[in-house]
Amino acid sequence: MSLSVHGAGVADRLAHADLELRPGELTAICGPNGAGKSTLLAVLAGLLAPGEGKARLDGRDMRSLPAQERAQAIGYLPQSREVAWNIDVATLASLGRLPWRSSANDDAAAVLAALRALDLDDLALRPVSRLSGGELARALLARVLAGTPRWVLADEPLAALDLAHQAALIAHFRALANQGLGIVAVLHDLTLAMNATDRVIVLERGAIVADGPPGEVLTAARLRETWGIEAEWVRGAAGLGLVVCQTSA
Amino acid sequence: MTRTALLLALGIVVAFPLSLLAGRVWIDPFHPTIANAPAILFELRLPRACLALVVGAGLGGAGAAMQGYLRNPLADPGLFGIAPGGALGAVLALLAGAATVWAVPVAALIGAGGAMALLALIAGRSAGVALFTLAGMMIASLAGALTSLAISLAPNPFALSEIVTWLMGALSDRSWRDVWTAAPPTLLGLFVLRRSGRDLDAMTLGEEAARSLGVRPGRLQAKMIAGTGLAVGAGVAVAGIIGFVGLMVPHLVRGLTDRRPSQLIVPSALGGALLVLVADSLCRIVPLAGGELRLGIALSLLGAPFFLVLLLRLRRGLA
Repeated sequence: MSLSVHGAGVADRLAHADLELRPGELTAICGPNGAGKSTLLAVLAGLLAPGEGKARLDGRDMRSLPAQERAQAIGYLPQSREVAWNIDVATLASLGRLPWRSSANDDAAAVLAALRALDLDDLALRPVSRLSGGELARALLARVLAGTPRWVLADEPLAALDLAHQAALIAHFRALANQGLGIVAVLHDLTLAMNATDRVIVLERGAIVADGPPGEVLTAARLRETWGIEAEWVRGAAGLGLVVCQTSA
Repeated sequence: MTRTALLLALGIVVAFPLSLLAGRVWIDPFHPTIANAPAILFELRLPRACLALVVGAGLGGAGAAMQGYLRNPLADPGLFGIAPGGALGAVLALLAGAATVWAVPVAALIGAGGAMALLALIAGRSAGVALFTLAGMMIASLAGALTSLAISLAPNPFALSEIVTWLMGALSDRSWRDVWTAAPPTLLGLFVLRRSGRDLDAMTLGEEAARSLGVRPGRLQAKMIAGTGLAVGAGVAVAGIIGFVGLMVPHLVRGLTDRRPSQLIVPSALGGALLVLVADSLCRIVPLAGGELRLGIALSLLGAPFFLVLLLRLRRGLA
């Protein structure tokens, strides 16, 4: 089971990328604005065709993969939190079953399991207009999980969430990775990337400039070079904290 | 959905026979004293009532699908050039003298088809919703301008009056021929739209998420253009422009469903059929000097305030 991109180039947003993702890992894609993070994620999700290179799912070229098969394997959580109609949480989660043409019973079981996993049982019948931001974020993730994907690719899933909800969502991602799913999330919060992920991929101007365990990748030198900040990691009881001293000239 | 659909179907079952009895001449089913009652029933009112169901179903179902596709409760199938394209075709046929009874509906179908083709041609490459909307509005306004041009070139007041009357939209003086012209394309169009239900449900989450769920945007767009084109184009061909049905009905019905677009299409088709049937019957019995109230006008009079209320409610929701 693998998901990989080799030699991908998409216009001027993503010049080059070579990487292979592993199941059971929580991977963060980090980098400054405009570095090509969302583009890389969309290529991995099979939504954007890489120009020269190849995106592969289990060794098969994503371009020749039927859309339905791809959708069954890869759950993609876009940055936009749009839900056009005021459906209830259970109906929202059931949209994740669309790639499967399975029986109603299987669908209901998968939706129920997804709602349970995200502690949404009590909100199942609540319309999305009456959810808080944190509840909506969980409901949208439940939609992805209901599709029982092997890979979850999330584009800035923590944006607009308060600290407690960020921590809760990361904990959910961790639990999914422990179950053997491959999780990839675009993250802006480097402290979370440092403390909560297995692997960090740093993008800069459309190219991967670092890739490895967070402690080896997110060094002070890397932060200076890629983000242009002078910062240092401070060890606390719960993990490492990032102290930003100043932006380098 | 099934419960809602059953309820609406029941409404049609009740309203349909009543609509046959109502009109300038009321028919008492138990004491048919009028000599030509069978002729009035079977040659005038029955085809008219059937046509009302067909036209209403096409507009209602297409409205529900279009709102789902564009993720916008204010979308109306008439906005996207297909109805104006059909109207342009019909007006040109009337201008040319419309030698046979088939000329106007066939020309309207050709006009609607042309608008569909143009829409697919312009919007097709990107398969995005924004370009689809803009292209549709451009086609609608172009067809409207050409229709006005054609009207201004009308050779005499009689032709002018005929064209203007046709454009207002009505079901009066229609025959079985019109039913057989409109029913097959409408049903085919509704079938295509209903088959797109899963894709429309996926669109609830936005275009990107829909693609990740396996939706192929180009295919969905083609199905939307073909489905609404057939359902709406056939209605315009036999009844002229009847607005607001495609906007109003999905709104009235949505609250009775779980709000997924796929579950709204059939109930909206039934609701549209019911609305047009009842509205047309009321048009017949409203006393109006010099004839009957035109259906297109009646529905617009009903629809404009409805649209305003909708806007105010949406504004309150946003505030």
